[in-house]
Amino acid sequence: VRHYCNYCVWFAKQSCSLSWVVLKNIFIIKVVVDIRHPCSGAPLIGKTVSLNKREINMNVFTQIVVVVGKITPNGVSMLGTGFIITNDCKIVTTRHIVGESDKELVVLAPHIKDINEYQDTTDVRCQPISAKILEIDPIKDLAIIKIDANFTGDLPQLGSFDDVKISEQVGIFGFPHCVDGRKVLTFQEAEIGAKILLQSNNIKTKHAVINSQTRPGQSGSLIFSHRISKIVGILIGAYIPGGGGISLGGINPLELHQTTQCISAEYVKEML
Amino acid sequence: MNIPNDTLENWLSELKPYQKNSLEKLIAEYGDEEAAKRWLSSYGPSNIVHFGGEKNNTPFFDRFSEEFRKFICGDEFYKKEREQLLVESPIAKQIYISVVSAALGATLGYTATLLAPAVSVLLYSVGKMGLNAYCKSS
Repeated sequence: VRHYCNYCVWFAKQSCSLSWVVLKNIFIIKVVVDIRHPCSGAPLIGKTVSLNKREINMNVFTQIVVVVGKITPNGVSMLGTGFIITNDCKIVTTRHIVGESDKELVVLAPHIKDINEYQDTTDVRCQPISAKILEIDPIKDLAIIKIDANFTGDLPQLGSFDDVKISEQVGIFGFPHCVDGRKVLTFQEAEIGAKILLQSNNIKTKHAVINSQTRPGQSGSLIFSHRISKIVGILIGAYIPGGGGISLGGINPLELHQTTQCISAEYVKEML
Repeated sequence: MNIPNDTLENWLSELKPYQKNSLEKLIAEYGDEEAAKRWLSSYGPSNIVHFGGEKNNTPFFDRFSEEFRKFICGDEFYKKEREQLLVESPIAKQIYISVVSAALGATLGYTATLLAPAVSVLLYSVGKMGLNAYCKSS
């Protein structure tokens, strides 16, 4: 705004509305400018210019995206990703990560505060927090677990794939390769490639194809829309024809493609 | 025990909406027992490779239905839990579902939340058939 005002000395006298919404973690600035000739008052641009800028404080994701695991005799076995969705620390993840029982189920406390920190991959220390299963939906492959803690601050809201369009950019936050013992909170960005209905026991649910290759450990990752500042989906895995394939050095070649499957976050709302 | 002979809708209304909605569709498609079986064995849509977790491929429904039969038909193993039910009279359907799910979950190592929808469907079947008839037939 200051830049434009210095450039046109008369600008400040013109019609200019400024709205600035400040949430704890999200800053939204919207400037609507209507520039007119200083003498005649005729529109100089001919139409209203709208400028939107969104700046997400990415650090909130370092605190809400967690590793879900189970305690074993050899330490914590990391099984996948989850994310905090309520201030009393209900956590969304997938049914296939938690399994059938909350025996020895834990989440790992956040290990970084700043998303730009270098994460030390040689540091294998962790702080497991006992978790309980609250809800399981085996048809949609979703689960809600809870830890005995409180999160203070604003949390991203749940949305739906209804709210985003094909080709729109979304962010993925999760822990790829955590099942192999690597704990690195990773951000990826990709487009929504398709909206699809997937069937489980003849029940169809809304999913989206995200144009990104993902790896074991990323199940339960949140899919975030920067445009609407909402969590729109949860990563569940990758399409694999016939559900089969072979393992070459621990890798199934059929998994190696950029069509990751994610379920719409709207289904989480009815489980909370 | 006197398991009420109530409608399926009333039994399912004791569940959370997400459970009830899916169970209704499963029952309409597959019938009562198969619906319970599919609820317990499902891991979401087919043709998806999961990126996490440890899949349990152990056949489960037969163990589940056997433990359910033992509870309902008076097996000594669940005597304490059945006595817990008899403390309340009349017993609400919600209490039946909770107590049976918790007891079976403790035996099988499964969370009661996952079992509850299947338990409610089987309790409905027992109520419809009658306890004696169910125990003789199973």
